[in-house]
Amino acid sequence: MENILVVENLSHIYSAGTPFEKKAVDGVSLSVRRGEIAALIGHTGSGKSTLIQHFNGLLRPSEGRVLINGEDIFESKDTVRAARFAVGLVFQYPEYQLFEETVYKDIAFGPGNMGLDSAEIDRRVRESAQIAGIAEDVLEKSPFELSGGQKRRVALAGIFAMEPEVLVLDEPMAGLDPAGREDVFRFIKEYKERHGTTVIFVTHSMEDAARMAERLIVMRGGSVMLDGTPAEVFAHAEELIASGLDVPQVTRVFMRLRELGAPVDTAVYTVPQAAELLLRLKGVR
Amino acid sequence: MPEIIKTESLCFSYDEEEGAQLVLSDIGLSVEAGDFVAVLGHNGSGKSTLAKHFNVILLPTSGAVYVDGMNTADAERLFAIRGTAGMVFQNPDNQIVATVVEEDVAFACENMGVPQAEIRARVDAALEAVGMTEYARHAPHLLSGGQKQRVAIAGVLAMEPKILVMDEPTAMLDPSGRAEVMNAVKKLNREKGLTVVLITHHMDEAAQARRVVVMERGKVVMDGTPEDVFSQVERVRELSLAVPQTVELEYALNAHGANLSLRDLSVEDCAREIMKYLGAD
Amino acid sequence: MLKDITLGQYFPGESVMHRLDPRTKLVALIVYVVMLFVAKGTASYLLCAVCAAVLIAMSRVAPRLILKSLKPVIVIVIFTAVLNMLYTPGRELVSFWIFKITAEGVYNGVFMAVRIIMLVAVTSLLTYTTSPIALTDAIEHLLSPLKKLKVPVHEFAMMMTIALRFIPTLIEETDKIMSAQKARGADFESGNLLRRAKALIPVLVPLFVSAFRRADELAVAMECRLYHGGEGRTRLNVLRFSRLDAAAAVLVICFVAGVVLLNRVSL
Repeated sequence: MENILVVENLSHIYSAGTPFEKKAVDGVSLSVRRGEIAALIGHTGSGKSTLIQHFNGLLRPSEGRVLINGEDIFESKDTVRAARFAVGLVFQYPEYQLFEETVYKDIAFGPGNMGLDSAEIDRRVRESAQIAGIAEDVLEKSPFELSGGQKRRVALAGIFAMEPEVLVLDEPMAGLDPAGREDVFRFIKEYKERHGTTVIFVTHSMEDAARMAERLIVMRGGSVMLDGTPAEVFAHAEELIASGLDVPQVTRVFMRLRELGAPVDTAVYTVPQAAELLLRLKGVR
Repeated sequence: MPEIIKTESLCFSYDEEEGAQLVLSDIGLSVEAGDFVAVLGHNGSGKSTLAKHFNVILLPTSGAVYVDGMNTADAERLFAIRGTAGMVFQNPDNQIVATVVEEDVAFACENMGVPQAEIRARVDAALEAVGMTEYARHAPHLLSGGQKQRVAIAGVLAMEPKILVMDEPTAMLDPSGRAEVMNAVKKLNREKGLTVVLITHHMDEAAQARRVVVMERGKVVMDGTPEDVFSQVERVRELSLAVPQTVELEYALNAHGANLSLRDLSVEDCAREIMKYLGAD
Repeated sequence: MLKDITLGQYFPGESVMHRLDPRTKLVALIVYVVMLFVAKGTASYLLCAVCAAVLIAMSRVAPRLILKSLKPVIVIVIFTAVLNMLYTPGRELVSFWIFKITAEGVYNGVFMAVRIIMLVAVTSLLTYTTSPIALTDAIEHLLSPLKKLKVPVHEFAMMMTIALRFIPTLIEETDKIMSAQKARGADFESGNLLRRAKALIPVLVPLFVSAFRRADELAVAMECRLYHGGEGRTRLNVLRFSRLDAAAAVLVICFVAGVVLLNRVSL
């Protein structure tokens, strides 16, 4: 599969030339394939939020390039604007960006800015609302009278409606309860399946990352520390823990089992997988 | 142990009208002094509404709430109750008043009219208790989320309350911030004997408490030690809540003929239980 | 971008200027500003300038920062100076079209410019060396006699404190909302004034909503920490006059006497 998003040796320095100068991203290179679903993991301050704001041209790199479909997005003002629409970026707590009188109008804001005709906008608004689990009668309500979880859905639908080729989400499940997290997880999957979109999401939760993504990119101190399939990344469980990242509880159970002398591998990160392995070891399977 | 919080058939509705939707219905709950109780439930279960009754932010529609023997409906006791049950909220940014950490921690003492020399001592002790002494002169907006939340806790501690009520204090924090706050709270409970009521939707935080109360649609539906609660895997899942992965794993193995306890909340206990399982042919 | 705004920025330090009681500094500043307008003639101005220079040196604040504080008022300085040059009657130096520049005009213009520059420099010195909270305390103390006239001095001071506390938070939030709307294709940079103003709606609405939500939550949190107005309140940091302040008071009196005296001399 071809690469849709390529980051070449990207660095970003905040407040360059002042005493507050800070290198937030340091020489990151990445290639993301079309249709991939990747999780970007790291501490607060590891540079992940800064990095993703380069993908749609909101931040300009101090060094390096960002290519979408092989083209440099910073070539001109028009290419930057095109990148805004090719890469849909959902910020943390996106419900705080809602502003319109009705849910419908708010979802239509992005597509409207793209200059689409009203029939197309209408189709997109309705389809995105449906994917994000927003009932028809909610569309005419004010976004401010909705519950926190519903507002989050509206904000997601607002980006879905732009039908970006790459969907980038900064902690889409932050602050939600387990049921809310499950919902958001499902909406993103559903959207991806319908449109074949590439998805990159930032998360703090290794458990969410392990469950949702087929590729994990772990950042530390502004650079990429590990990049691979969940199995490849969790094979480095000790390193992850040493750098202060949390690994799923089952992974820790397996690390402990190995210390206790059980012949198990630690590249285990979901409960069904763990159960399967233990049952096989026991000879039940 | 004496009970420090007691609710008697507490009902609450935001709507005064007869027959309106009850947010809390007929809650009879008693918390012992020195306990660490986690109130678990998803959004809309009424858990935050319940917490707001312990601090007289809300008053019961019917029934009564007693805090350290004082009826919260007694307007004369308002300050005494609020000084007994200190409250920490979800968003650390929206509860810090001053532009310097120690000034903020002093805020409640200043309002209580505590003499200056004693404020100093209380502020220092409170900052020490949450491990924020070195940040006393810092500006709050430059701190991390976990640090801000610890400052907010210190601000409540300076009132020298008997109870710490926390309404989803970690919901907006990253994992390291959550760990910072949980460790500070556990230490206060263990070392100072502070009663803690922690409202949360994170089951891993609830697993660290001594007692877990699960709420659903304004009612208490489960109540017991974390082991008692989480070992009822089907029941917890019905309430669309999760159980710790250790329990989930043991449950999955039990489905294939194993007979594990489902009471192992720590990695260590779970690993030992599984070793026994693997060894016992 | 917005983070570069330095509203009443404070640089912590241990200099004499930092250690003075904020009330002393505030009163001294007021006296200084009054004297700037009382001063007439080169000698008095020179005294004011020397004082400003000595104060800046004592504060150990980098002169570069003082210069930075002057940047926003440069336009006003030049405008005032030019107006004075053109509209002061007197001995004509140069004239063109309907304008004529007089010697008195040049003299007035230069003094006016110097006056504004010193005023801004010394005022920013006060904010550079005094934490906002100390300044608020000082204002509350100095205005406390007004409480007898039912002026809500404490409430006013509390509002100042909360405003100072939330300015950085709201600036950060504005940046975040702007980025989020840009990601939805909002364009803040092109079009005429009306279009640009309209483009700000998606930023202002969420910002107001959030500010109200914050205010609401803060009010509850303050009540939970037993806030009930200024009555019966004690303070963690009580302002206390020291010998340093007494010395400063003497110097301020000397300065006033100096200006008054020098005014006579140059007359």
